[in-house]
Amino acid sequence: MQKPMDDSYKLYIDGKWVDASTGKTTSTYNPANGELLATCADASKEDVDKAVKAAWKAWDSWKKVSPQDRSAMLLKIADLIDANAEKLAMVETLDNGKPIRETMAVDVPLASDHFRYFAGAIRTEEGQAVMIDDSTMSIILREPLGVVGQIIPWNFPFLMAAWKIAPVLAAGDCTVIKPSSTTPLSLLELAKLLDQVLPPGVVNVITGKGSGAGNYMLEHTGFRKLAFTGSTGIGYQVAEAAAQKLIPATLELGGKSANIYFPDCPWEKAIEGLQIGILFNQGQVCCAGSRVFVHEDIYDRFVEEAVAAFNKVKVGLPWENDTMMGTQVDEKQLKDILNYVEIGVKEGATLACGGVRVVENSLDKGAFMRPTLLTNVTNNMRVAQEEIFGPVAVVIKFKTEEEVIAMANDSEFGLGGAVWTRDINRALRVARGVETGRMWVNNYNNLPAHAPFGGYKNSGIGRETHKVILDHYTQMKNIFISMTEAKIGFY
Amino acid sequence: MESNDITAQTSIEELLEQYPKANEFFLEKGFRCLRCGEPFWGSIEKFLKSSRFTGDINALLDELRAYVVE
Repeated sequence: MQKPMDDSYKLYIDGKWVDASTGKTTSTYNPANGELLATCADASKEDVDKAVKAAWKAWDSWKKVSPQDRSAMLLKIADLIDANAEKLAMVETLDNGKPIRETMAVDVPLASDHFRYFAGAIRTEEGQAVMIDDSTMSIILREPLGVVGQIIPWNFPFLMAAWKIAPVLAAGDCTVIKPSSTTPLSLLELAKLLDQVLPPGVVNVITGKGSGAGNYMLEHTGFRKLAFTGSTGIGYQVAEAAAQKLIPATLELGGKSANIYFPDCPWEKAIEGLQIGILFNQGQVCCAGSRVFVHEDIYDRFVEEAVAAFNKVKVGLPWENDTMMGTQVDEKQLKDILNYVEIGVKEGATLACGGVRVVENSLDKGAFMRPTLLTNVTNNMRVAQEEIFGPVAVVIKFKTEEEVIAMANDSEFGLGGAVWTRDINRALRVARGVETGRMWVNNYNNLPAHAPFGGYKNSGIGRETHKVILDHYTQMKNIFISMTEAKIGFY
Repeated sequence: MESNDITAQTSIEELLEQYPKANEFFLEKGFRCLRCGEPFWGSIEKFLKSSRFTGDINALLDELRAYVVE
């Protein structure tokens, strides 16, 4: 197979590709076989500063570009993504380890659609005007913030880049964006496409480690806002950095989402929904349906069929078309997941299936794992409370609607969740009762543009994938007008 | 980095690169230095502080040094 990516990548600053000022690089590997894919510049403090300055310089003219023109550029970017879909999908698959069927059907098309959605959204944006009284008018406009700092994770590098960059361009901001050092390649490839459309400096891509370049971004005083998707642990660090500078931050963080099954669920779809909830992207999804609540009347049958379905899943090389589950992102992550399986068993859970790495059929050089179900779990176990971020679901039995809502809410997180039932009233009661930003009814892990996504509680602040994010990337200007010539007569 | 070179100022990222077992150590203690596959951004000291660890850091570091070379 011909490698779809370059051997080395530089930083993308001010429309130019430049080496890190220190000359340092990081390496990124194919998690399925350990092969070196590329080296990337390891940005220094000076590089971050250079990128921020370039972004501010670009903003002088970018903020004056009309919504019509910005919209046209967003559409061009979407077209370029679609025209390069196969290459982008393969780059993502090789860098991240997720199956090609997912990158082709989900990551890349959802990303181009994201640019199209925001191209449309900004054409519908309008301010407001109100007459305060007969001679006083108040006009409300939204204005861009300026330069924002954005940090995205390794689980959906390309799609998360689209979630961040599309609204920034739509709002009229400029950005310095950093991908995870584990999976930087698809964003760097996207930058090549952006370069064909955008003026220099509007989007700047910084690569490097979180503890280096990531921290330099958090320390930098040149941002008007920070946006972060990743773990709750680092979310706290980002929030703290924003607070110290008195700037806003939007955060999309971790989860331990409840996937709730009632006896009247649409059965086959429900079993598939369990798999989509926890096996999609090898379970490395912030809103994964990792806590599975099953009503006692169907518990035994559900577990039996779920185990059979999990055991049929083809774990394989990510670039093969029939692979359903690829590799975890790296060895560290795999070991962390396996540690949790062990913790669960020690806590008294039953390992119903999986729980082991896969080494057969040329998978020995990767971080592959079998789909895993832990049953006989109680909601207070660590495996039911802590985010595992792998293909491991815990199954918990419940008796009543009230009980399951209480258990679903007994969590520090509140990102996703689902309820499976044919009873519309029950579906709405449960969806309303669970404290979470997104509740799916009879589906899971659907994340298209046009529906707001974000967390309650420790799962984050703000909503993305909807035009409401434009409020997070703009600020409100009020123009207050007196329409009379006469003085008030107060002085 | 030799295990004896691990100090409170060692970054978690560097620690995990050299000694992946350190994650297991902290996990057993109930702390998570690797969350969603991303190491904490900062030193061991900063990590423990953010994890609300109130015990003796030096004693914990001694345990950590011994654990990672087991």
